[in-house]
Amino acid sequence: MKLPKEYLLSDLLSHNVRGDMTLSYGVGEIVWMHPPVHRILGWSSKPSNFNLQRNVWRLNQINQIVNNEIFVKGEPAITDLSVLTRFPNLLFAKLINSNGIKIGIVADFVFEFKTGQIKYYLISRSNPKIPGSSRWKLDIRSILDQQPGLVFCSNDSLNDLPLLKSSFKNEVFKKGKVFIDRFDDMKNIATTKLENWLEDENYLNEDEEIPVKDFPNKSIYNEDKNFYSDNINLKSSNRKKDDDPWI
Amino acid sequence: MINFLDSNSYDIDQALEVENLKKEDYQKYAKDWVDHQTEQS
Repeated sequence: MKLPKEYLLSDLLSHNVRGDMTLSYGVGEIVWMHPPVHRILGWSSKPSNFNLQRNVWRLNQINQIVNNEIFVKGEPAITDLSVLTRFPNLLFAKLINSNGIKIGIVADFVFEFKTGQIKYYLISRSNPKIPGSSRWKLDIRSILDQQPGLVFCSNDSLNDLPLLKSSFKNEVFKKGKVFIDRFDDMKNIATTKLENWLEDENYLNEDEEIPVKDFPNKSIYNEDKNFYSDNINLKSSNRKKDDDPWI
Repeated sequence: MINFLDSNSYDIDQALEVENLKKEDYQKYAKDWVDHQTEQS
């Protein structure tokens, strides 16, 4: 089976690792990378929650990826969690701007499967573990230097970086803003049309005289009913009076 | 420290298939990184 050309680190770590004999080596945990050349070398998996021993895999040991499982060839290297956590790693490092201010946290990266070359990093504004938070794209060329826990970039703020994934909060804010803008537009159009209509009809022109002959002398209602008519049929009224048993 | 890199079952040179990047380079970088971490803490 063909492996994808590019892959997201968080996806790699979320997969369960299986060996040749379908032996499970556990879910991925920590990336193994070489920061100066921005390359991923491999990753470690955690066989048990009650064991500090970790299995380390090279990237080129991956045989295939099926659903939520990565099938690997060969044996893992065995090491301890305490060793792995001290290894060079830019994940969860603070991103520092050109003025020395923290603007985000390195949350993830996209890499090439064939070479392990990291294409770009994904930055979050706050804790990357919060589900649904936004991600900004940090180009490798923007990185000036790195050291344990810190990545220095040439940008000033996250707004200078392209937004790759918008958070739920941002989406609601953006959609809400679009709705309010549309409502304002509709209100403006309606106001303009109403003003134009009033100007055209001269309804507010108090100086204009309306001739008496223009007033209707007949009701708009049917004469038979005689309601509000100028020509009230008195006969009909009298007859009704005569027929009334209470008088 | 880098015990798994020295393990016989693990060929770091294969993993570091990058031009001008050798196992010794990585080990030196990793050592400096850990030293820096220790200084910071």
